[in-house]
Parts: sequence; C-alpha cells; structure tokens
Amino acid sequence: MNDSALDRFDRAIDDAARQLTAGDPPPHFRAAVMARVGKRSGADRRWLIVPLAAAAALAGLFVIERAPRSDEIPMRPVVRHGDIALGRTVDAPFATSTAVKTPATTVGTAPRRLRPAVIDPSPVTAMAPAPLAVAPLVVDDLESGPSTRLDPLQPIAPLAIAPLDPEGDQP
Amino acid sequence: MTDEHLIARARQGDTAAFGELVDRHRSAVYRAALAALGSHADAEDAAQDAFLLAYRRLDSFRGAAAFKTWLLAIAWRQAINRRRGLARIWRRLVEPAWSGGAEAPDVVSTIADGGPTPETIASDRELGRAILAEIRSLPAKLRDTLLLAQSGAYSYEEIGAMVGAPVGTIKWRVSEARRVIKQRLAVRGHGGRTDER
Repeated sequence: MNDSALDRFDRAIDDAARQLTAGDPPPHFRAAVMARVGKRSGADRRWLIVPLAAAAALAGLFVIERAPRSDEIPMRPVVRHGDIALGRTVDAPFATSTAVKTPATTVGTAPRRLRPAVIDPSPVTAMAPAPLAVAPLVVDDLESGPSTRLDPLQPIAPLAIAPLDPEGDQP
Repeated sequence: MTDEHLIARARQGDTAAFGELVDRHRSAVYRAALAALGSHADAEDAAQDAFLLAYRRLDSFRGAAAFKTWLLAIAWRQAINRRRGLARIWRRLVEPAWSGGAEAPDVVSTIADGGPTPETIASDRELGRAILAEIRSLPAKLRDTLLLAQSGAYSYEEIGAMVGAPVGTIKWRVSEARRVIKQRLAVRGHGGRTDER
C-alpha cells in the first residue's frame, strides 16, 4: 500500500468518524431537561420518605426480634429449692433462639403456652429409617454389702516443744 | 458569566442557571452520547439523563477539573450503561448515516480533487461502506476513542477523563484504530485503487 493510498484512507476514516458523530440535540432539548429537573426535585422529596420508612420498619422488627418473649422457654433453668417450695417459675436469663427447648420448671402455677415443635420436612428426614425395636436393658440392683466400719482415731497427745536457747546456738 | 458562577447559583436552587449550563454544553454531551450509542434518539435520552444526574450531583462537583470535563464523564457513563442494554447498537449507528435513498455519504468523494467519474464514485461508495464496516467491527475501546477523537468536539484530555484512560493511551488507541482499519482494507483489496487515479 503506497503513501497516497494511506492518506486517502486516513481522510476517509476521518470523514466517516466525523459523520457518525455529527449532529446536535433538538431545539426542545433544554426544555425537556429542565422539565425533568423540576419533576425530579419533587420526586426526590417524595422518595426520601420511602427509605426512611423502610429503615424505621427494619429497626422496629429488629427490636421486636431481639426483645425477650414472654413465652420463651429457658434452656438451662436454675432451680432453687426455695423457688419450688414457693411455687415460683424459674426462667433462665440466657434463653437462646435455638430449637432445643426444655419445659420450664413450673410448680403451683398454670401451665404455660408452649410453641409448637418445628418439624423439618426435608427429604433427608423422610428417608430416615424407622427406629429399631430393641428391648430395654434390665440391670439388676447392686446388692448392698455390710458397711465398712472404721474405728475412731485415737486423739494424739500434743507435742511439747521447748523453746530454743538463742545464745546457746551461736558459735 | 462563568460556569463556576452558574454552578454556584444552581446549587442554591436557581434552575435557570442550570438551564444556562445545559445550553452551553448540550452539544458536547449529545455528541459524546451519539458516539457511544449511534442513534440520535438514544443519544438524546442519554444526554438528558446525564444532565439530570449532573444536577442531582452538583454538590459533589469540587472543581478539580473543568465542569465540562466532569459533565462529559457523567454523560459517557450514562451512554455506556445505555449501550449495554441495546443489542442493535451498531446497526443503529450506521443506519442514520447510510439509509434513506441509499446515497453513500460524502465520505470519500471529497478526496477526489478532479471531477469524479461514475466509476470513481462507485468505488468511493464501496470504500465508504467498507470503512464503516471496519469501524463497526473494531474493539469497543478503539472504536469509541476513534469516534470521540475524530468528532472534533473534545480534546485528548477530555476523552481521557471520559473513558478513564491516560492521554497517551488515548493517542495510541486512535493510532491503533487507524492501523487496524487500513490493514483490513488492504486485505479487502482497497490498497491499490488509488493508483487508478
């Protein structure tokens, strides 16, 4: 390819590129932009409410979820004899949201409403084999032998220790 | 009144001042969008979106670069985002220039110094179509840079700010785009035609 061909191509490329980007916006362009700007100003204020409302709703849900529930069942209740005697209900302060829950220790009060157990309907659970039928093991009671008796210890006479002579030990 | 004065007034809620900024820069923004999108309708939408976004982000303009450069960068991003959703972008790019009467644009005829013969005109049209096809098939980075540079509306610095590349890279891309096009034209057999003149 000679120089004149290259120049010709360069000019043709310039012209093609210039033509592809030639053009001006239509006369109503400014008016269209300003109309959208004016519309947008109102829309901005209106749309500001939406995220604020959503944030408030999320915060409310978070507080409700984190708050201790009245029917929450403690996992490890601390039971004191005094509580049982007085018929108190003991709730553990560290109840968590895990699925394992034990009934509350309730003495002398009405039974509390328990949450229904959540059954895992997964296919893996459905494929689990039936539990084996095994007779319970019987364990004989241990025979109690004669108790071991220990003679009481004789009291030891107190030892008498003479005080040291401070001068006699010196070289 | 300078752009900075208009920006200050627009920030205080003077929409007429922003309208003046729109008037000043609408052609540059529009042509950048046109270079990316190839369709006048899409370019207008993208240019409007760019001005709208610029108005909303006016407080974030720090003046580190010229307002026009900042605005062009916004416009280019808007246009590129729009282009990603357009499947027929390059068909649209070519159609406005070449459709309607099937008359080839005056891309090559200006080259002819003497009176072009019908044979020359036909050959130039063929070359024009070949060049457009080659521009269309360029990698996007080369194609975008070539079109922006050859539009004559932007400096290399402004193009660099738009596409996010150093000036040296912009110059290389323009040169590389030309080289690739000429090489492909030569392969098509357009190299020896000038000898006929």
